[in-house]
Amino acid sequence: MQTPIGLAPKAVQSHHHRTDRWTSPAVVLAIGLVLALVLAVLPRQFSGWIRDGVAAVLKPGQVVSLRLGRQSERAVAWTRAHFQAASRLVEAERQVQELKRENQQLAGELVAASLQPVSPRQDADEDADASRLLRARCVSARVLGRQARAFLARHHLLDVGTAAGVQPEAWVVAAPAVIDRGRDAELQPGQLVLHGRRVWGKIVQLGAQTSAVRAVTEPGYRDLVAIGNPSGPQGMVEGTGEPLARIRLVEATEPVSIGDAVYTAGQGVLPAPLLYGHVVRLQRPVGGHWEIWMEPAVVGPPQHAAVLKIELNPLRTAQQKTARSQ
Amino acid sequence: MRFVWLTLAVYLAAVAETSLIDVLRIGEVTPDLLALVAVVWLLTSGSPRAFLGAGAVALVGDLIAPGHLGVGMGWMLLAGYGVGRLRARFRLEHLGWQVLITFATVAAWAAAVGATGRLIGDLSLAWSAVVPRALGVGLYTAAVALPVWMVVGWIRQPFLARKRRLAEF
Repeated sequence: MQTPIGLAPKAVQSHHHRTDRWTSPAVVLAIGLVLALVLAVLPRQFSGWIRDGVAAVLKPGQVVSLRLGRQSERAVAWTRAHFQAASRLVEAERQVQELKRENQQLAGELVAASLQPVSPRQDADEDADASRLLRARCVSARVLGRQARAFLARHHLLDVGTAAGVQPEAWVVAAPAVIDRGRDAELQPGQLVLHGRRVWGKIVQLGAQTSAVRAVTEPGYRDLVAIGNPSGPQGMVEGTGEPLARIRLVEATEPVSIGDAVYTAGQGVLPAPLLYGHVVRLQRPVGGHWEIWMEPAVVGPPQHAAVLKIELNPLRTAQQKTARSQ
Repeated sequence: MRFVWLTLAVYLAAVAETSLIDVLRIGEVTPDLLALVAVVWLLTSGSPRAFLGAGAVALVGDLIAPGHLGVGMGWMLLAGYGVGRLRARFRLEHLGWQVLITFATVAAWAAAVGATGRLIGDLSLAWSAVVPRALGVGLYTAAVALPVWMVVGWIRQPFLARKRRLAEF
């Protein structure tokens, strides 16, 4: 420290000593406590002036703080409203998906109802159309339950499968589904079995009065299908034994999406396609083909079914015979 | 420069205590932000007379609160003096120590101010509620102090490192 000009060293030391003594923390604390005591006993009139001054200084900050508080409340309300809107949007999207799915089901059922071939009037209309070479007819059938099949087997009436060397009792246990129409209704193996306008399966074995049906999801089932619409990309549906059937050989470049309806393809006889099911899962394998999984439109054996028969139009053949004879 | 920061912090804390305290209230307990500023000043100032600054901060608290002036200031001077003595003996730069000192100082100061206010008639609080409420204020303020001390630590880290290098040299 520099020596003050004009002071002797002893005087400087004494000055420093006095300065240190008066600025030591304990002395400063004592002075501060005395000041606090003085403030405590200050008349309220004087303290009121000081408080008013402090309040005036704090006022701008308080105004800004309150405005910020209001702004933040608005921001929170805005954010909350947007979150609620977002949750409503998610719910609406879910409902839209559900409605779309219902629409698809209803569309399938509508198509089925519009082409119900068991209607006598429609049969009459089709029969009256002499220009068509082929016509589609449906043979109504009742699906036999386990007890009914057991009864028929006991009375040796269930002859389905016996031609292949299968014992009736064993066949009754193993066969997934049997209908009560067979050779008596001029059915043929490979004919489609429908429930309404939806495909349930195909006839695989014929008996005199009964037939065995292989459902879409059962192993060994194969058929050509169109995805999305009757003229959409075509593929091969295969039963896998799982609840979902697999559709193969659809190019990965084809537009396929989950929820697409799957129809029969290449029929050419029916005025409208038959519904197979809906696409529920999609995988894109390395081979460049979609791996598509379809939920069948008919799940489980129905009580009633109809076998689709395609045959020559007798009206047209009769007209041709008449023309030849003339 | 440090006094500018102190003034700014005191102003913001006073504004928050007078306008946002209802937002910060948990039950009957609110954090004492001015006391927090005073403790941060005590533990970060290198001066042995830092308690004077803490006393001034507490005086601002007295001015914005009802009751006699100087009560909070006097107790903060004493508490600050004690913290200064503690700081001279121990290194209190660890976050845990800083939060603990904040809790202890604020709780003791709030208890002393509450008891004094009850004695001179500034408070109508029951005697049995003075200490629990002071502990609540200390705990809440210490919780608020945790992020404050973390930020202060990040800001002061380069200065402390330089100080250590100089001491080694």
